[in-house]
Amino acid sequence: MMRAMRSHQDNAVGRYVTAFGLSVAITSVVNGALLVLEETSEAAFVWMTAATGDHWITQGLIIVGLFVVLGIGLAFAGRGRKLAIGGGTLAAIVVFGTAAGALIIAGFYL
Amino acid sequence: MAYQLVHLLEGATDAPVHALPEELILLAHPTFGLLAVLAALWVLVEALNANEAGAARLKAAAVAAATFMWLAYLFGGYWYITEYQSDIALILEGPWPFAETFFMKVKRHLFLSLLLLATYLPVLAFAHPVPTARGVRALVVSTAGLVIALGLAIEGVGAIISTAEKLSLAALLSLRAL
Repeated sequence: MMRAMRSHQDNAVGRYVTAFGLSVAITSVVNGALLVLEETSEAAFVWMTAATGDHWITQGLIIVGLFVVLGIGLAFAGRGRKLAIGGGTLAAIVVFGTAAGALIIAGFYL
Repeated sequence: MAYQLVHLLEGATDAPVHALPEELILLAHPTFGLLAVLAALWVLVEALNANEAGAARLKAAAVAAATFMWLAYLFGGYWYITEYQSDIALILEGPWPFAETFFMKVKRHLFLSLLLLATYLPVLAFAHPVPTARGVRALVVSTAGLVIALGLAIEGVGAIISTAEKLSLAALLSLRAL
């Protein structure tokens, strides 16, 4: 019974914490992918530059916007304990998502 | 600033040198970045010693980390768009071109991940101001830890870029002296 209670406590991270944690991980990977697209596709680079005057500003707006929209969207989709991810698992997802994004970015420029 | 100095060295007499306001903007960027890292460290320590008395401090530190990181992003972004573009050629022609071809490019993209992590900290802190449960504590500690590690790495990369610019200017001055 104690193990079950501890497991419940461990898993009780909350809908918004889970949703925005997943959003951080996913958006970090998308950030890396967007960089690769921007650097390899002239059409994408031209569009991103034209959108705000500088491609890096556009990328920032896309990434921050995606983080917010994805976080809110996942939170609504996760109503009724559908997003029941444990805290430790979510921590691992955040770490690996961030690391994956960083590896994509650094690996592309090496 | 570097561009204006080069302009003067090339014989121009009308290049205005507005050193103070621009350099303050440039200094504000790493200053706020480091303050964000320190605030994240505060979050990490509070999480490792979580108790009711520290709940308000943990929330305040998380908000501070996010706020300082956004300020670092805005000041750095402003500098990058308005001033740094003219420094790119100087760095590329100097002894450390990799500071621009690799480090600056990685920095400006990786910073976005750091910004998201710092923005996530207040979400964690307000949902779990006393993170005593093992999984929740792991989440808070790892997120704060990532902000600290990435923040310090990016501070170091900024130092490399700054050094590259100084080396380029020094090389230019040496050439002029010959």
